[in-house]
Amino acid sequence: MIFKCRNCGANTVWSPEHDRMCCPHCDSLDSEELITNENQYQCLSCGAPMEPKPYDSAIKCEHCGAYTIFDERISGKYEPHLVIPFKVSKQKAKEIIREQFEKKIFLPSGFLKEASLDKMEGDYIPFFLFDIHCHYRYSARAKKVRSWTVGDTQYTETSIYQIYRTMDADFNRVPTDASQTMPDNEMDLLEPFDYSAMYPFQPKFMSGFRGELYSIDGPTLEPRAKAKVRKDAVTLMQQTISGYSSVVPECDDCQCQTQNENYALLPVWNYTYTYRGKQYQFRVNGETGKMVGKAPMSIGKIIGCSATVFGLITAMGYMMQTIMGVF
Amino acid sequence: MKKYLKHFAVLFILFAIVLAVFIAALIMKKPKEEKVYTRTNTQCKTEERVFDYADVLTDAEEDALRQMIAEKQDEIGCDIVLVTISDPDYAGDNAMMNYADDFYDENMFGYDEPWGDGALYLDNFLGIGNSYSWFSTSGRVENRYSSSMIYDLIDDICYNVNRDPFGSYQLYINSLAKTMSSDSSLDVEIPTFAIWGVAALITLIYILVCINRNVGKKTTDANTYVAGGHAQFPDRRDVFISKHTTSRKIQTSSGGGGGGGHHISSGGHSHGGGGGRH
Repeated sequence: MIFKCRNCGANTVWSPEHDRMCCPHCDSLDSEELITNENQYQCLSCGAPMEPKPYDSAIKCEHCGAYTIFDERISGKYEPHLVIPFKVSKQKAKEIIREQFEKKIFLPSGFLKEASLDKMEGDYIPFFLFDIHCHYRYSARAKKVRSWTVGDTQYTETSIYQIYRTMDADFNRVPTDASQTMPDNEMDLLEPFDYSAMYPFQPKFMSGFRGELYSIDGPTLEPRAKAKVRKDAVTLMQQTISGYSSVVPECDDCQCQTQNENYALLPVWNYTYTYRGKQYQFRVNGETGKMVGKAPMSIGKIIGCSATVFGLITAMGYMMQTIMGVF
Repeated sequence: MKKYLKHFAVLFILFAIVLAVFIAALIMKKPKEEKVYTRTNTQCKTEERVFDYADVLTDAEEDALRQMIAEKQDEIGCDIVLVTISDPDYAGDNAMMNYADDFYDENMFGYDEPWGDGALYLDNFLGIGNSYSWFSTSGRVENRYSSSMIYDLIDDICYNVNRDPFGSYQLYINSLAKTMSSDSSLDVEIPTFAIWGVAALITLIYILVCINRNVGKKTTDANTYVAGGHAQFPDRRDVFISKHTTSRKIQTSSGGGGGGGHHISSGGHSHGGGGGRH
């Protein structure tokens, strides 16, 4: 499917700036018209053949730049339940990257060039959102130790306590990325997403962006979601136990039960920069603007800057030596 | 280039300040005036400065040291005395200190006046590992030498005195002369290796700080996905079980550091000094 402008026939896309559909050609708002075609792998705008990768659900035509969404990859078992539309525009995402890296002196010169940043792509990444109930039983033997001195005698008082805790918590919409191509740790760092801006899935939100369908299913991801919940539950439990000099657990039973799962598409800007044959990936949360990535370094700049520091400090040292010899 | 200049702006400003002070120092620099000392102590009981009772030096070595001392004394305006003994009665820091101070006082050493400016180095040779050294200071030398300087000098001399007493005593005379001829305000001297070392260290720290390439920190916490923002605790009890108290006596230790510092000799004169073993 493709969304076309009723006024000019160009491809209308979801505009984060306007928070609605927009035609980049004639600037019409909400002028979209849904066009579908039997031949899924042909651009509905220019007719060029399209070759999506196995998990692509929406791609950009290399010939005309129009975005085509593949119906069968967003329907049936692949139909997302929820979506958070892009709120951060491409221009804003570029500014975020510039702000983050402009002070990094060791960056290669081309990293922040407009031509490099323009290659950034907006992707809808598949996630499963799990609702998990956690029931946590905990008991422990704890000690409080208090010391004081009278004269030349030191007294130590040890108080023994038995700690009992039961915790119930509903963890809602715990996100777990369902893409094999996205590193889990980077996706985790992009959190949190603001779920108040989450909508039931509509294909129009995908227009203008690359889309990916899940390559890891819900049951496979469930243990990872439970592990995330368990880790948070342990932290919450430990926060209630303080003031003791030692705590020895006797019962530590955390039961996690999945209540519900939702397949959702969450927005992420991806910037790939190739330096000396190595690819560096940067991700910007398409809703909150939070950024994750590891910058490349120019060896030439490291040597140059280090030589500057070393040279100036050494020169100052020698001058100080002379100055102290004079006064 | 603009980014480079902006990045190093603070360092460049600092460099410019040091450079300005450096240039000013060079302009203000005056040639050092050679101080000429004239001996004013006429009551000193002896012209001798090398008392080799332990006989660890040859006659030629003693003469060489005497000549050296005679030159250096007039350069720095301080008496330089060297005494070697081999007497088990003076084994120990206190005994060495008393011997050295009394020797200095009884002979009324002092370049400017009796018991005045000067130093005495005493070695008691009782076999390797059992020998004692004491460096006694008086007048300007006492004021100039801190405890750490005294121990540094003794360490330097003790290092080789058993194998090469002549060389070690040359070191004593030269070191004393060098210290007394330099102004105490110049005591802080920046060694060249320290300049390179500090520059390398700062550069390393700079690289480590700037090399941090990771962007993105965890901004969720344990409550982020919890419904209502907090977990429920239907059971939350801390039950007191028992209490016991133990006591122990605090051991106090006595004693303290020794050596060095200023003191009054049995003759009633102020001395500084410190000792060591070799």
